[in-house]
Amino acid sequence: MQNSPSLLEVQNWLRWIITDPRGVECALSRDEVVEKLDPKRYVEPHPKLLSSFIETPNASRNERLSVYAEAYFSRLLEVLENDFATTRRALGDEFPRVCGAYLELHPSRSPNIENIGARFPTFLRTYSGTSEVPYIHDIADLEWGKIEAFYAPDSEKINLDSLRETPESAWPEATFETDPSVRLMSFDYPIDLLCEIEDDGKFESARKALKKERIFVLIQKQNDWPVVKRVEENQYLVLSSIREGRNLSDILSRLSGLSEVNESTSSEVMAWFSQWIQSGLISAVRFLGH
Amino acid sequence: MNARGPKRSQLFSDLGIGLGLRAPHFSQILETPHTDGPKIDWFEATSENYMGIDGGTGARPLKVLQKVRENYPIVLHGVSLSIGSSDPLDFKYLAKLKDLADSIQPEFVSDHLCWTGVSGENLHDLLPLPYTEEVIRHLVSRIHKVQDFLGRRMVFENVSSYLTFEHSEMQEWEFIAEVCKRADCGVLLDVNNVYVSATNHGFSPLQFLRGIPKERVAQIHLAGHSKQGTYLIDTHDQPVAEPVWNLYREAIRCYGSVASMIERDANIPDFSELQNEALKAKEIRRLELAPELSEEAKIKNAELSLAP
Repeated sequence: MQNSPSLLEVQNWLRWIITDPRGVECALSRDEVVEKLDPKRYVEPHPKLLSSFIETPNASRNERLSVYAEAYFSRLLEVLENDFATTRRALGDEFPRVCGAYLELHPSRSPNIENIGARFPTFLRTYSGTSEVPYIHDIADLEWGKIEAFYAPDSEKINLDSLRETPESAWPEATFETDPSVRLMSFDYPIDLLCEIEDDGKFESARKALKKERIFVLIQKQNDWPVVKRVEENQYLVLSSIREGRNLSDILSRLSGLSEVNESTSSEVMAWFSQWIQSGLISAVRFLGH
Repeated sequence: MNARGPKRSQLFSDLGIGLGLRAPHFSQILETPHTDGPKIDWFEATSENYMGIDGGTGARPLKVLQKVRENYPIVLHGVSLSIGSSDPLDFKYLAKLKDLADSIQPEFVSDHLCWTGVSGENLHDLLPLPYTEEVIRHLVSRIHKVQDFLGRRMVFENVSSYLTFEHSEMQEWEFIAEVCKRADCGVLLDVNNVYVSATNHGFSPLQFLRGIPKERVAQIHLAGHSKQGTYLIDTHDQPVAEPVWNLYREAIRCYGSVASMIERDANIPDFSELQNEALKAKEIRRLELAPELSEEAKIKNAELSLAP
């Protein structure tokens, strides 16, 4: 009498059949796998266990296994569709195929299904199947950035009174922290505009009319929701410098290295700082020795 | 007053009738004053929805849950514990669950008697287990570890299934009863899942109900399903079907007053529609449990059975 399969054998066999992108019938037909992203995923594990499942007149083994296989892809696709709504619109009918390729290389390794899209923007950066939409990874980056911002921890508001009491001489050495939700991004196309369009017809015409243009974008959580804003190149540079841990004096010098900084620019930068502190974008100020 | 139905042990308190807490209803639940608010006794929250992505926090959903908790008892219901997996227990996940439970102070913490992933991959589905002594031992050992880690008795739900195994050594209800007895945990009896699996595999749903020790039943789920060809799929996107309501009546007769809830995960309707289903469950339960109303119960319940 044949030994019963172990639990591990059963689970590994089911994992293979459920996640095989070709579907149950095709996987079981043992078709040769040519040029797949992850060929290992297509190899049936040993022992072969199809006969371990009970077949009844109302549903064959293949039908029963297909319930799980179809649910696997549709559940993950649904999450990716929700999280990358603009990416999906830009790719149109190709989106499920692209997601299939992504899941083949990056199956879920997290108990929380919400993590499934974490590597999607990076995947799109190198995936050859989307080369017709050169900015597709930028859209995905922006959409995932919003999700990260949404789940970022809250920070305490800065005590403005204590800042006002700080002597002027302490400011050049001051360093800053941005709110944990802040994401800074730069793109070669104005893809933020596409993300704002709701109407399908308008989206398609905007997509066709999209021309190269360097843009700088800030994402910050406000009242629990991520907000996307354009920032000027110099603001982007200052915010990037803050996040690198540079002090105020360094930041101003760095700015002067790139553009002409006069008294009015300095006061403009100080106005940005004041505004960023008040809006919570800057969540902490550290003075040397404190 | 002596309630009809069997005596229950005090392992689990009867919370009354609840609903699954779903994002489309957050505003309505929060913005209505509790006194004029939903006629719901408690809410069940899907644990993972309040944990956030890796490196993140529970964010707004957790704030909403904490706010709801101020007015209602909460049950935390997970989908990713993967208690039946061959992989080691995921203590990073368990630590998040413990933090959430410490913050929310739920009445119960539940998950499913199944596996959801193996070899480091998560399939995000409630996958069936072979009903064998080997698997019982595996589950019991892991449930003990989880209960020790969380410092509380867990509750496990029977899953709906589309597959059974040639090498199973017992029926599903015998398997569940044995696991709960040895692991000292509770059962979340999903009567829709019982009905779906009974149809798909050809067993008697009543035999299933009678095989579960009543003192272990902590909670009952009611949900909808869809027909796909000759079998049923547990889609949770429909109102509770009439055969499932009938099975619920049997469950109340079997187990007495058990916390019960309506579970809808897709095609989510207005809150009022779900609340009406919850009120229907409340009425069925009241009629089944009131001895002096047993005749009335029969008539009313027959009427409810005919209602659309």
